[in-house]
Amino acid sequence: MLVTTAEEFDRVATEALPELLDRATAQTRRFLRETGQWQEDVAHEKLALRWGYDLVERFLACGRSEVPCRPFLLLESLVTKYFSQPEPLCYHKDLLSPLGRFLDGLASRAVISRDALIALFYHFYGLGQGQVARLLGLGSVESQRVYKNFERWRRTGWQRTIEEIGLTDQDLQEIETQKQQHPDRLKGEAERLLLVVQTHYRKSEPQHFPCRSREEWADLFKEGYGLDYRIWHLAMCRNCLLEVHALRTDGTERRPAPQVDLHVRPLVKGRFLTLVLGETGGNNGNETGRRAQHLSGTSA
Amino acid sequence: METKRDDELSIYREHLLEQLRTDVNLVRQEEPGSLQVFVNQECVGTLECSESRVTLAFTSQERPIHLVEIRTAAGRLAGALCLDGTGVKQERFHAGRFLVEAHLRNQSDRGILQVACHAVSPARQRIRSLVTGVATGGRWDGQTDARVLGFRPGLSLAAQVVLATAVAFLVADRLTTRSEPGGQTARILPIVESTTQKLAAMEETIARQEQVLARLAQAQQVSTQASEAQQEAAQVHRAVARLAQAQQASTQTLQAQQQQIAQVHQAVEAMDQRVRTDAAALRQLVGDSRKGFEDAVERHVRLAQIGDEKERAQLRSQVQQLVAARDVLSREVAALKSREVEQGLKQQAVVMARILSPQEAERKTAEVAEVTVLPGPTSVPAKAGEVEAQPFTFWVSFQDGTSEENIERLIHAIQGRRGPTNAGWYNVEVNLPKPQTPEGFFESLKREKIVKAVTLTRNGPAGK
Repeated sequence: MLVTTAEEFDRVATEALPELLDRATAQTRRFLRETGQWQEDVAHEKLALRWGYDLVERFLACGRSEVPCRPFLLLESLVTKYFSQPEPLCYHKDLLSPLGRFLDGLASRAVISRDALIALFYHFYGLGQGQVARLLGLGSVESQRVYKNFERWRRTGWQRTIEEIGLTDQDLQEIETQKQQHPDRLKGEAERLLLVVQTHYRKSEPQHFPCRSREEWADLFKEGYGLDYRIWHLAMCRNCLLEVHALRTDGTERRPAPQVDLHVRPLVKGRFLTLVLGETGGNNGNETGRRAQHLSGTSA
Repeated sequence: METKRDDELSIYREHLLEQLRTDVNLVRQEEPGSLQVFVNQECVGTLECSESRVTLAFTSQERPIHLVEIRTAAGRLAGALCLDGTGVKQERFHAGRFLVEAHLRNQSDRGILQVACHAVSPARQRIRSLVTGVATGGRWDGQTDARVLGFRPGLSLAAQVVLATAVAFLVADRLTTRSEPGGQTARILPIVESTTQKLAAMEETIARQEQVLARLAQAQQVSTQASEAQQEAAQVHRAVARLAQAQQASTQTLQAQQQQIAQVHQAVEAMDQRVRTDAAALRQLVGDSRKGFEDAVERHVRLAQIGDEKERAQLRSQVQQLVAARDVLSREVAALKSREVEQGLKQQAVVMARILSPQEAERKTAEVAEVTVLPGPTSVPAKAGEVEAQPFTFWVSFQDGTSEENIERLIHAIQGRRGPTNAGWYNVEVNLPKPQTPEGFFESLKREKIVKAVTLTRNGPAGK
């Protein structure tokens, strides 16, 4: 079918969305099979659906400028071009567990969303706004600017991300249960997977990719430049985060170094809201989940 | 188990489809915050959306750009641009109340991206949407247009309810008026008149508002056209500036090339002149040498000819002199001998006559007469009947360089007849007079200068 105008493209694409998604998913599945990364289970099917969704989203945005075109052939072309890249996807077998999908999904979202990026400090390390501002050397104005849209993340961003990843409430509860029952084991596993995830997604911003020495970090903070670099790189590199923490607290403060401290649900201001939203947020009365949310409900 | 799995996947799929359907509208409504610009799936910069116009420029070195994505701070894809290979592509899209313009130019070895973002005022945006909708003949979508105009869908529904109620009231009122003629009509008439006046005033107001709206739309269109024309003019200006720079660069290159060509031309001319000079010198040298050579050869030939002729003439004259001298000498010797012999014989005859008888004296005289004939077969021709000649064949060779003429002359001199020649040896036959022996003949022949050797047979050098 040949479409000749952008309006016609929108109409045809909207009507054919299910087929477009199925085609993109099928091509992703084939790519995974051909590269020996496929298994017949729900996690792999969800992974293929998620990447198919990403590809269709790109197709819908790009296709309007590609008319006249044949939409299905254009989608195949776009998907083929995407998978012809050297390392198109972050695939690791261990990332298919609920914990792995959570870490992968959040880091993946942080690449395209500044809201998600700043939220990583909380979800991975449990750091609130004040702690992040101190660690990154943000002034009050900068801190407000960076966190001005954080409410949007709390309200819709996190939910949307979790739904896009395909994590169910049961998956989230499983992580929270593990954290409650086996905190050390979960922490060790999370540290290991974080290294994989952060290394992969850090490449998506080449300007902010390379790690710096302690002297360079000191110079960067002393001179007061590289704000974007600090936010991006420290959210995506645990080693540098520890280095900067040691640098920033050297001889002046006695604060524990940031440890991996997973928080699967967003920080909600106020305990009352926490409790209310915790019950209505789909926990189904799971006390463990609410307790975890409640315990991490420090003021940002 | 399978059913549960399928259900879970189906729910997930439906959710993703719903996200895809709603994202397009959400990105137009949501405040973008900041816009991230991705080139080939790598973030290259961020645009902080504000009232003023903000821009971002990015140049990809070594390879062109094939995918540009612009996402809001929440991660929603506001717009994207694909370009395969080289060329230019530009796209406009809305992110909340901001208009984003992306301009991509791909060359073979680089890609240049320019992104600009500026706020669009709400009224302008609504009028623009209306004008665009009317211009494109778009389908009326009450919900969408209400949203575009800034009304919520609920308010639109309420307005429709109020309107229906008002119409119902007016209809009921008219029916009531008809059922009550007379006083009520007179009572209602001023109200109707005032209502009619109000309606007229409202219609006038609406007409004025429509006119204002139309003027606003026209002004908006004009301003849009002006801004587009301004942008195009700026682009043209930039293009002209680039062309001027390119022309200047090409002029400089051309001048440099012309200078190089002039230098090359001069060098070629100098080389040509040098070649010509060298060729003339060479030609002269060759001519001189050829002339000298020819002269020398000619001189040599002439000298050789002259020498040869002189030598030949000398030889000829010498031979002639020698032959003449020999003839003279042989004649003188023969005459002298004959005279001496005659004198001796006469004296002996006289003596013998005195001593012997006269017969013996006559025989002795005859013998002496026979001896006087012997000097040579050629020198003095013998009288027929007096000397009996016998044929004699021999082989003779001559000195190197002896000409055939001299050889012929010698053979002629000895009255020989030439036979076959073999390896430098000449077979000659002569009539040898009787008293002359072959040995004597050989001895006399060997004394000739040109004779090298004489032999009887070809097999051995017996007479040499």
